Amino acid sequence: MAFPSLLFFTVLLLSFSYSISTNIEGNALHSLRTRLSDPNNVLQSWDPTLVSPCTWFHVTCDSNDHVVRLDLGNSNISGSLGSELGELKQLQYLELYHNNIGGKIPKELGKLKNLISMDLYGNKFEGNIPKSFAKLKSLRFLRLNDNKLTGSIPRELTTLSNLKVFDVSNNDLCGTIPVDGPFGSFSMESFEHNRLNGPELKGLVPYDFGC
Amino acid sequence: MPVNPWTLFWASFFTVLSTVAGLNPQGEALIAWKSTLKGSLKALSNWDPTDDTPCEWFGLTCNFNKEVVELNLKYMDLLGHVPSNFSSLVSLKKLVLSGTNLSGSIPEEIGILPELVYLDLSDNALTGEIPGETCHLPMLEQLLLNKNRLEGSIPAAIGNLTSLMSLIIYDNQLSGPIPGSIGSLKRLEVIRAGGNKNLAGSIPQEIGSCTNLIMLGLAETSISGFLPPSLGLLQKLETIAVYTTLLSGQIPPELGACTSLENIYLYENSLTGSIPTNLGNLRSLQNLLLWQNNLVGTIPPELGNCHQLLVIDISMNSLTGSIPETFGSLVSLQELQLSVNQISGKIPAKLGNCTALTHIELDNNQITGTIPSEFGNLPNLTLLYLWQNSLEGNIPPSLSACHKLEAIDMSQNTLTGPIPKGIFELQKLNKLLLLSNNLSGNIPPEIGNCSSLIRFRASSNMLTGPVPSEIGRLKNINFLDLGSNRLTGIIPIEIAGCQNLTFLDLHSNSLSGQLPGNLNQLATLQLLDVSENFVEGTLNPSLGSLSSLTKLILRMNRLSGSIPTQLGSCSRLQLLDLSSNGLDGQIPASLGKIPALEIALNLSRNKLSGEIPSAFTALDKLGVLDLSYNQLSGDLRYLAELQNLVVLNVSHNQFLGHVPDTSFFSKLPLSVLAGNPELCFSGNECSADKGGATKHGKSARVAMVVLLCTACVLLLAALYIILGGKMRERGAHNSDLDSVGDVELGPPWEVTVYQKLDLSIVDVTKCLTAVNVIGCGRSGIVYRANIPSGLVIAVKRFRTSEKCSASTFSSEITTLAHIRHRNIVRLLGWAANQKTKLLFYDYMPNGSYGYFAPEYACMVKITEKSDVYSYGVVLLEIITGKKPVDPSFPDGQHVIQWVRDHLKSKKNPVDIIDQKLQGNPDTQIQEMLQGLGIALLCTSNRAEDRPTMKDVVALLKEIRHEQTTVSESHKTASKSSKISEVPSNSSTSVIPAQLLVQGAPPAAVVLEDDAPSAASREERQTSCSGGAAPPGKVVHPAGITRRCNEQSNTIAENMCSAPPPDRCYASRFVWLEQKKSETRQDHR
Repeated sequence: MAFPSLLFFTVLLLSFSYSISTNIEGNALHSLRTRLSDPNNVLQSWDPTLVSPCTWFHVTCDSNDHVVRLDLGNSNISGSLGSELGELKQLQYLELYHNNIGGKIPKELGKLKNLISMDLYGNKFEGNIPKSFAKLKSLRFLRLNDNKLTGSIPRELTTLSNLKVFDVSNNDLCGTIPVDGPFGSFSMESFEHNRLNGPELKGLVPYDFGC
Repeated sequence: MPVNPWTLFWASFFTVLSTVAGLNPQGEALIAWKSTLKGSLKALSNWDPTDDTPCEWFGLTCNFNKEVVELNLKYMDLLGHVPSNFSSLVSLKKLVLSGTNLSGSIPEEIGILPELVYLDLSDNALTGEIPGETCHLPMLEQLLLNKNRLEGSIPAAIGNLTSLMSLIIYDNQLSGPIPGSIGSLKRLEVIRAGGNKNLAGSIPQEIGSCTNLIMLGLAETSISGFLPPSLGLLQKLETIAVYTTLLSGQIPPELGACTSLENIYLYENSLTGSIPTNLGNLRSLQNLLLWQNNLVGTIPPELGNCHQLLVIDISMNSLTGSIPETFGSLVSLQELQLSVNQISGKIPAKLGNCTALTHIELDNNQITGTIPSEFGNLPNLTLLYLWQNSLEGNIPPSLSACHKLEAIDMSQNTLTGPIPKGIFELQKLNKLLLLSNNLSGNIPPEIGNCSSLIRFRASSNMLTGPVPSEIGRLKNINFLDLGSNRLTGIIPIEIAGCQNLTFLDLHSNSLSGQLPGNLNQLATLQLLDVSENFVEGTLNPSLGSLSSLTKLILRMNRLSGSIPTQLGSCSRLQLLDLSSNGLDGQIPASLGKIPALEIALNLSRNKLSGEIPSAFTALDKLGVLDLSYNQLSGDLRYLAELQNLVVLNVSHNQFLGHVPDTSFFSKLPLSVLAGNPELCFSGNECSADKGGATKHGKSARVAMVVLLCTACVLLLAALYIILGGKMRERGAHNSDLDSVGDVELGPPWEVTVYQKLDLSIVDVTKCLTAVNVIGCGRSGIVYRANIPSGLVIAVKRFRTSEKCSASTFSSEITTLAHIRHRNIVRLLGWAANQKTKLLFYDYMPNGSYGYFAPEYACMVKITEKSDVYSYGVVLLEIITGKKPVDPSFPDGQHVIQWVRDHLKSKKNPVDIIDQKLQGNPDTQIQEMLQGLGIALLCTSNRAEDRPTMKDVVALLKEIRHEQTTVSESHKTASKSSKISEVPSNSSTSVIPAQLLVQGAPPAAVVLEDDAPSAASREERQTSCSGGAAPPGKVVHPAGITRRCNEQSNTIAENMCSAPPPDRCYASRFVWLEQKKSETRQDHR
């Protein structure tokens, strides 16, 4: 059994020469980095061996060293997001607009209870708008326009009483447009260029009619 | 040499034979299998059907009898299935089809190969279960099925494979337990079953019988329970790799008896107890990885006897005590990782003897004392992490002898003294982190020699003196953080030589002089923070060429002059803080054109004047804007468009005019608008509206205006009350449809809203005019109300009714507000004054508002019977084809009254039915009339007279049933519909209606199994929603995601031969934090 031991030892040395990060948020962001392709090297400063990610660029922390902003709009990054973003418990701004990020929007983003703004517009996101977004009670700005999202607009989002701006235009959504809660005040432009069937007609057709 | 005639004979004989016989059956079977393959089969090109035997074919080996004993094809694209026709290949001893792109299941026919010794189907895409027939191979020694997609459990009969030496099944999707029969495998040397996420249960204690076991791999599974003490019987065991599983309990001390053990990988489990001291008996131990468990107690000094140790990683536990002195004898030790524990005491100076050490990680503990100068004896040291401890004393200058040092982190201790200049002679040092200590003295000019330095952070110390100009020689430095020290002097212009600088933080020092004029040469600079210093002079326009700059923080300095327009060229700037300086002049419009300005713009506490530039309307992503304490004037109109604004402060300026009439502004606390004497709020009288206010005697004027306004309002109010009272006396009955000046809509109002609604009752009442009427019901009128805030709601105004007091109205309406169903129009709120009651609903264009039972107006008690009423009205609508309040009805009658009057006057009931339906067959007309009867029953004035919805369904079914079984109407009526005591002539047409008309209570309708109201409510819902599914539950995100598991399956069980990827290694910290927080919650 000398061979496996030797092989192990070799790879062990290689692997352990990398070092470690010591906080959840840094790990989460590092994990995000590994999913992303970054031709412009905007994530160059994201060094996982640092004490915290607060010194990384495009990351803003509060005075307690918690990540409150992630500003990666217009950064020419591609790849996908993962559940680890849900670990950024204090995050207020998630700005990932105008990139080439694809895949599904992780439902774990619903764990970001302090989120004020989520801008994922202008990417290649697919799949549904997670229902878990209904837990983002602080959310004011939710812009998901210009992606490839499908399915209906989750009715759960009507409980987001602070929601001020909502845009899902230019996707492939179906069903009807909610009319409750903050949705009563969003303009129709926020919904155009989808396969939506107009405002929800309560009691007449199911809200996801045509999905 | 003479030729043996026999040889010649046999040679010719075989030639003849083969010509006659052709390819033997073994070859034919192989050719047949080849023909099913769809991959690129170049390697099989010599599989020639015209050969006699396959023995010369690629990948095949025969015995001297020309029987195939080995089929060995590896890493080629065969694209097909595992052969299943083995009947002619029973001589096979070795079958290897590894990495050949095979799919489908493992054929059970494999069980007929009695000679098979070696079976390797690894690295394919095989699915299905491991066939039980595999366990019928008496000679099998090697079973390799790893890296497939096999499901199901490990066959319990695996114990039959008494010759088995290797069981290699890692990276599949196997589930279930590890069979105890594994203990029968006395020859077994290797078990590798890791990377099967659903492999569960505990490790069977029978494993102790596998006395030849060398390798036990079960990592990244759901194996739980205790490690069996019987492991101690495995004298040949070299590697135990059961990491990232659900193991709990203690590490069995018996493990100390496995004297061959070299590798213990038990990290990322929930192991408790302490590290057994008798692990010190493991003289071959090389790797001890126990990180991220719940281990307590001290580190056994006995480990110092394991002289072969290369790596000790026991970080992320709750270990206490001190680092054993005995570790000083671990001369082979390369990595000592004790991070994140509760280790106290001093660092043993004897660690200086461990000259093989490359990594020392002791961070996040409670270690005291000094850093031993003996560390200088470690020539191989590359990484030294000591941060977050209670270390004191100096940084040993001897470290300058550790020529291989690459990273030093001693932050968050109480180190004193200077930074030794020798540190900067380390030519590989790229990271020097000394944050939050009590270091003093100057920054040595030798720093310029450390050209490898990428990151130097020494903020929050007591460093004095200047920033050495030699720092400009650090061509690689990326990150320079010297904030919160006591640095003096100027920022050297040489700093512009740090070509790769992206982060420059010098905040909270005592730096003076001007900002270097050549900072614009730092093309990659992203953050510049010089806040809280004594920097003076003007802002250099060249700052505008810092095209990478994202954050510019110059707060609290002595900057003067104007903000250069060029700053607007910093197109990536997200945060600009120039607050608390002496800047004057106007705000350059160019700032509004910075597309990235999203985080904050803080220009507060300067001497800025002029107006907010119109270009600020473009800052539609800005979250925080602080312009307070300046001398800014003009109005705030350009801020109305900033839809992303979350925080705004414009206080203490000279702004005037109206505050923008948006919901954002209406919710702002007054303090952020205060100190602008001429700023006024919407609705208030605004001095600026009347040709602009002058500044002289302003306060006096304001006071006058306020006084006058108050007086006027009081006068008007008095008049209103007096006049209103008189008008009310005259009776306002006719003014229902025209509310202009409607005295019934005067104050005081009691208003309750259940949603966040931007409405004022005044705005609502203004809308209650004839133009806005969208419907008239029996109980009142429905208006469309267009509130100025953009909201559109429906308002139902009840006819005046003295009987219902406002208090009963409000208490009952609260119940209504809690009803949430998408088929029920949502009640948004209500308002009531002495005379009028208003209900606010969602406005739905073309929608319906439902029909309210009388009790809604009178609020006796609202029950599900109120909905029965509404249902009855709908039914009436359908049958009559009339609107509830149809123009054809006399005197604005309601459909119910109309039907009742019609029947009361003994007119032909058939006339009531919709004209379009009149031509239908008589039987159907009769059905409709019966339906009409049910509808009238539902719309009984008294709620208790109405049937439950369950009754209604039964009644409706009854109609249908009678139609189909006319001849047996009596029987069915009493049997199937379960209605007893129904009037005997219930099957005739208009009886229910007549009953009602005559005022007889429908007490006759009693259900045999009287349904509780909840059930009937349920029924009502399903019948109303057209069978649509109830609204979906909110899907909660999965609790815990095991990231490494997901990502490293391909190398999952490399635990036996390779370590985890560093990604996983790093993620253990995530786990600890999770665990910690869970524990915290438990304690709470």
